[in-house]
Amino acid sequence: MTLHAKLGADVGQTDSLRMADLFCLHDWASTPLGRREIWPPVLRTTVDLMLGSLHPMCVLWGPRRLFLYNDGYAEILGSRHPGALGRPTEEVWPELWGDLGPLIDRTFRGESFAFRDHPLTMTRNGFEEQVWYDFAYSPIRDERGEVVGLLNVTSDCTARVQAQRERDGAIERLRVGEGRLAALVEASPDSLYTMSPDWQEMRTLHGRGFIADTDAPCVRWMDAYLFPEDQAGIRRTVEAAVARTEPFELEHRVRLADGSEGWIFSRAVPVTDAAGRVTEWFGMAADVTARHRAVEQLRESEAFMRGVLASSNDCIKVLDLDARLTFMSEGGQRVMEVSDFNALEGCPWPSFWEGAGNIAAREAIASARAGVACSFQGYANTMRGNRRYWDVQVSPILGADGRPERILSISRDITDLKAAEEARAVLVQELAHRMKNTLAMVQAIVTQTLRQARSMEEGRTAVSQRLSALGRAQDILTRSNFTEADIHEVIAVTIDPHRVAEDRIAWSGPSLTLTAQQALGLSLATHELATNAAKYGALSNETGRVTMSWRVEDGAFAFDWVESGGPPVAPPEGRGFGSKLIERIVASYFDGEGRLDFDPSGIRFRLTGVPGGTAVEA
Amino acid sequence: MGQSFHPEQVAVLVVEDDALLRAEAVDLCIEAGFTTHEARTADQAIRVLEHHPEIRVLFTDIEMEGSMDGLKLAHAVRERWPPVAILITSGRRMVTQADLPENGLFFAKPYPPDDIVAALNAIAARIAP
Repeated sequence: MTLHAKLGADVGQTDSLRMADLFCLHDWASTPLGRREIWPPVLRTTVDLMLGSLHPMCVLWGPRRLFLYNDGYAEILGSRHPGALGRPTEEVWPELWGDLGPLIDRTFRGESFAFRDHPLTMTRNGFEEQVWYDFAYSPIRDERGEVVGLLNVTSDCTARVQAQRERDGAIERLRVGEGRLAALVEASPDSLYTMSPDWQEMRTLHGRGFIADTDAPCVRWMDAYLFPEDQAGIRRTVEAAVARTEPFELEHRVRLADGSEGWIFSRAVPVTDAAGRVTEWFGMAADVTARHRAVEQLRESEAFMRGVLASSNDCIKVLDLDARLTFMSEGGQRVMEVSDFNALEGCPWPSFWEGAGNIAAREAIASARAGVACSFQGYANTMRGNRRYWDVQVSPILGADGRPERILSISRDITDLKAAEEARAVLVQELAHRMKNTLAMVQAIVTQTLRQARSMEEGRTAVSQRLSALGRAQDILTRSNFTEADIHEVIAVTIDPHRVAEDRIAWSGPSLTLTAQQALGLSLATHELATNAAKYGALSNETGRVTMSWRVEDGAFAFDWVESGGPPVAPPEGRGFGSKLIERIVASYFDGEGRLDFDPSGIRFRLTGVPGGTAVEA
Repeated sequence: MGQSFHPEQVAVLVVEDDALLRAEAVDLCIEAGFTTHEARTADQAIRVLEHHPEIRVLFTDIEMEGSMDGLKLAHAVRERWPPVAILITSGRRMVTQADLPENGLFFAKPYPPDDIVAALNAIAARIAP
């Protein structure tokens, strides 16, 4: 091997001393060629030519194809050098003999062959090696023209072939890759675009149908694709990305191919040359109009829901299953007078309720946890300590599995309703009382009247008339909420059924407010007097008159009924309920006295007392 | 009853602020044969009781103006004049036995006159000499 290494190191020198030396040293006498001195001239000439060449060559000589080679070829033999010299070729290249033997034979018959990049599998170093060789076989003829040998000029082109194959492989892979990329781009619904390095110019845009194509470079691309109000913002983003020379993404509004408004998600990357300079920007833009609209709708729907929650005066809360507050609507925070919900978040909700409400709230939570909605009413303070009465509905919020996941509580402030209900209850109570009181009065009037009636007929008439007078007085009181009435109104209403002619009944006096009892009493008294006057007194003929007048002096009230022009008056035989009513009962309502005077020229009645029923005699 | 008694020996005090109702109650008692006094207010009633020890029955309305209502009057009377029997009436309240002095009787307004007369007679019979 030392020899081989030395030989290798000397390749490139013009003289091939090493093989020449081996030719000199070789024991040719023991070979079919015999001593070198007796070699035919054509062989000597050929060997000299061969040994003098740097190009790998070998000569196959004679019927046994004895193998002769030069320094250039020695390398090709690997570990078979130098033992191959002078041996039959079949023994030198047994692995190739099957392929090459026939060609060699044909060369000996006079043919020439040239092979390029011929693949061979050699085992010259004890293992298989795939190699490629260019070689040319030429016949060597003697002076008689007989083929006596074969000259093989060869060169190892394995490195070149392998490089070629690698390049071909790389090209193939590139082609496949490009094909895939093209398919990918084709399969994608995204639009593709290229921009000049400074983005001033759009070079191309394949709109994929949803936005218009740009086939020729265009500097007014913004006007073509963007709405005027969006241009400044997009330009800023683009300029920042260009300055950084980094990929950028942007979702923005565009004019769609049909002119309507749409949204795209655009991503662009800078494409650089070998020197790192940006040659263009390549971008893809996905049509996200539908998603954007969905998001917009969701946002609108959320805003709508928020608005609903905020404008509702119901306190809408979401609790977790442990009844802790997790959400309270804006409107709810308003009615609950919450200034900072964070302070409340996580608080146990039932603790807001007092007394029975607290128990009801706990029961409602237990019910909601079991999946059943329920409601209750109770008192709870707002965060500012104002006591309110609430109508509360508590219901489970079911999860996807149908089990209660959270709890919804809606409380409505019904404090006013509750107060109105209570007021109504009081009013009903009061009405019942008044009705019973009125019934008691009716009972008293009926009993008193019947007690004195001389006949059923007289009793029935008197009862009807008195109850009718009572009813009219009640009308006045109803208008004034049962508490007071003006004396003018009381007199006018009472006298109305008794009026005979415009000027025969007259009254005058200051406006004066009477208590309910005084109004009823004066009404009944006036009714009695008028009834009596129509039967026996001033109103029983065509000329008589009745004059009523009243005044208040130094806090004292005085009312006068004066009849004139009637038939002569005779005092009655006995005093009936009418007289008692006039003199005692009505006077009592005024905390004063009533005096009936049977003056022959006409009945006179004077009532004195306290107006407005202020003082009660102790 | 079967027992003879003299209603005129039993005096009744009617306390009622409404003159009409008072007049009717007074007439009812008189008609039943009882000596009858009347008062508009509880304070008046106390003064009448102080001057007329013969009064053995208090027949009072509850709602009235003044320093006390009929219920308070009834309790005061039970305190000061224990033997005085007590009848109470009201159109406003349903009074329970617990509100009344012991042995007090309640009549809702408007009351049947006969019930009052029967109650008065029963009292008179009980306390007759």
